[in-house]
Amino acid sequence: MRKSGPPRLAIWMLRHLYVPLHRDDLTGDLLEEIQSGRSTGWYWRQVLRATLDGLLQQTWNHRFALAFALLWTVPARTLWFFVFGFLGRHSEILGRIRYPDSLFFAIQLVVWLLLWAGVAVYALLFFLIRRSSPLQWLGRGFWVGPLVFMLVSFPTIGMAAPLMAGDSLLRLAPYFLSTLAAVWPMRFPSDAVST
Amino acid sequence: MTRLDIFHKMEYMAEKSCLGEFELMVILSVISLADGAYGVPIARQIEKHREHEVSLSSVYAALDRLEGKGLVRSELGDATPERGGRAKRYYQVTASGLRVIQQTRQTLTALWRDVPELGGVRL
Repeated sequence: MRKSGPPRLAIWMLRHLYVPLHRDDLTGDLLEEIQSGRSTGWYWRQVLRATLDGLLQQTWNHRFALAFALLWTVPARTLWFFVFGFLGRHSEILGRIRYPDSLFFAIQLVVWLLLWAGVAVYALLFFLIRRSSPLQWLGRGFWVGPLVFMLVSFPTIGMAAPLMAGDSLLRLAPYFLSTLAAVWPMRFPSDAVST
Repeated sequence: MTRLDIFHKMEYMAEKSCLGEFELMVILSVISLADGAYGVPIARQIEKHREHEVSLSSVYAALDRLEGKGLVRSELGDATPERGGRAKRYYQVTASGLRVIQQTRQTLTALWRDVPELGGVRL
């Protein structure tokens, strides 16, 4: 047992990754145990298990958001292909664009519209099922989705490539992750104990 | 009451009376520890009989499920310095919890008696 107390990284993991409801209970229990002679190894095993439990619990609590993000990825990507197919068939449109860079922003705007449509559909479902206003999360969803898309699409797809090359799971990742990030706070199960 | 309500109620009751192995250990520990049942002693009690390490987060997850089913209730005690000023969360079994434990015991005993190979005596 270290006299200086439990490892700082372990405390940080508990504070950020374990379920909030029992965070103080568990932190207190672990501190009590380590002071009564439990080893640092034991402490770490407990923290890692708690972290895993916390992540599983969070995944379960947001299972509807996960399912929706998976489902929304398919039409979003399909519409994306449709837009690019259209531009490919009418290449003269591309030729007439004076500032080609503006095409990138136009493409981004299409993605944003798709994401915003997804957030709106999910918020509507949330309202119909939970009978609770989603307005407090709606604004956040509208800017978080596009931001995550841009952050994830640069390393995974490249700036303009998504439309030109073939599809793959990696290419679906930006759609899935951005939709998930946008709808994440809107939780359907109102009776979940460990939030 | 509609037919849907009846099915929902039956499903709820079936779920409520069904205890997993670990939940059973946790609720029995809560009963045996009486007024001193909180995370650490519950985990130690199970460890003593199971003879291997028990994760405190699993204990809390089980207690959450039991509390959700109305089989135990919890309340916060006083903050103590050895816990860094954090309070202990004490658990107590409810009347409904005691009933479910009795039912589970009867069911398991009856099932056990039907397996003579494991030392049971068929009645």
